[in-house]
Amino acid sequence: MDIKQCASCRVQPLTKDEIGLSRKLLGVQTPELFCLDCMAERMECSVLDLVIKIEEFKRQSCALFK
Amino acid sequence: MKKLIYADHAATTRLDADAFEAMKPFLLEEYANASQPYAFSRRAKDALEEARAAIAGCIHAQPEEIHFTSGGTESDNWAVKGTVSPGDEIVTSQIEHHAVLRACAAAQGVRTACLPVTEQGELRPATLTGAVSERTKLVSVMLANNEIGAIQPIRALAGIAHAHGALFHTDAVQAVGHVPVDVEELGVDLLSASAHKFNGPKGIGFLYVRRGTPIRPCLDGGAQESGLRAGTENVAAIAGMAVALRNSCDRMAETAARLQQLEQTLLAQLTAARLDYRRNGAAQHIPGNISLSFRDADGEALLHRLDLMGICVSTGSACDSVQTQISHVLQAIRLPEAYARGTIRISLGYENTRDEVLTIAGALEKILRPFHR
Repeated sequence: MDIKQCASCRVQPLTKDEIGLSRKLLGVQTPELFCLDCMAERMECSVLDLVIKIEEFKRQSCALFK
Repeated sequence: MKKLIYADHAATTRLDADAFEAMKPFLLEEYANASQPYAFSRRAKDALEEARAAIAGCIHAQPEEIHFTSGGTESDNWAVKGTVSPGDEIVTSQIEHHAVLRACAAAQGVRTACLPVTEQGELRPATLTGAVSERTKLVSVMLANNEIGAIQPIRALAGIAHAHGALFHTDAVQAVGHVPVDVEELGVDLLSASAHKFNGPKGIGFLYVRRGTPIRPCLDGGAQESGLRAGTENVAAIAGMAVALRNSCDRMAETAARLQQLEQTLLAQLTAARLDYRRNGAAQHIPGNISLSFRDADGEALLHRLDLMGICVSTGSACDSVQTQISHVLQAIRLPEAYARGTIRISLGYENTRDEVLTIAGALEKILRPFHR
């Protein structure tokens, strides 16, 4: 299985939620994936903001989080 | 906490404060059923007729031609399903709201022709002339498009429909309260509107039905709305809708001028930032409705990133893990895919300020600059 790592801090493996969120916020085709901490820094928001977003996407049955 | 910048007024609007005040008595003290014969119902009954007259005045109709509904979707469904029968033909456009397109598809035994539009989103009268025939029972073309704001040449289109003996319906949900609407001048037989698009309450709207237009009841039951739409009237919402529409019409010219200035400010900022974008829609459009397509961007990602910055907009595309679904409207105007995928709709309202527009432009520049160097 292909292990995904954070494009910024190199932590690995990224969770399915982190991969889904990266695609949701940076575009489906994005080559760069981020962990929640680095994504929050990049988006200038809190990790909690991102966790809430992830839960919303899951409630919408977004295929990126299945 | 981030300041909220609401720039999605084509989706819904804030309730007008005067409309709220007009609604309150009918929620708390004057809660009578307007159909009852006792004195307590008198004020509710009067309020319904005052609202009907006020709304009719705003679109140059007669009061008895206004029928209250639950909103735009019900009005559209009623206009379509209430006028056609098996064997009839409907002519509509490819960029209609789903409330019209799906109502047409659901009409039993009825053939529907969906006409193409120009790259600016306009249905040319000549296109309709080539499609309408003596078999056509109904032509339904929206007054203004919800995604790109393009305003259609309704008067000319209605004339063509009538020349072939067809009825003409227009979904004016995005237009009423935002641009002048005169049913006599437009020559339409049926017109749909929704209160929450013009700072009225949600869950209420109306269908204008020109006197003498044959239409079956929308709902069977009681005798409300001249026996055409059964169900106890939502007096509070109807009263609020009338006040909101009157206020929207009173400030229409001033609002339109201000929104056009804000549009120009936004576009100038995006151009100065050297972002590669297209503005969709026609020269004639709903003031403040700005559909923008950014090359090589992802509209849904843009929406969510703006949301994280406290900015509310809509998108014209949605992704799943496999592909991006581009809206039927963007497909109909033949927008190149590289742009279509990166489409957002910013719809400004009278409450938006120049500072907010500059913030939106700055946010877009920050998000998109890496892609558009």
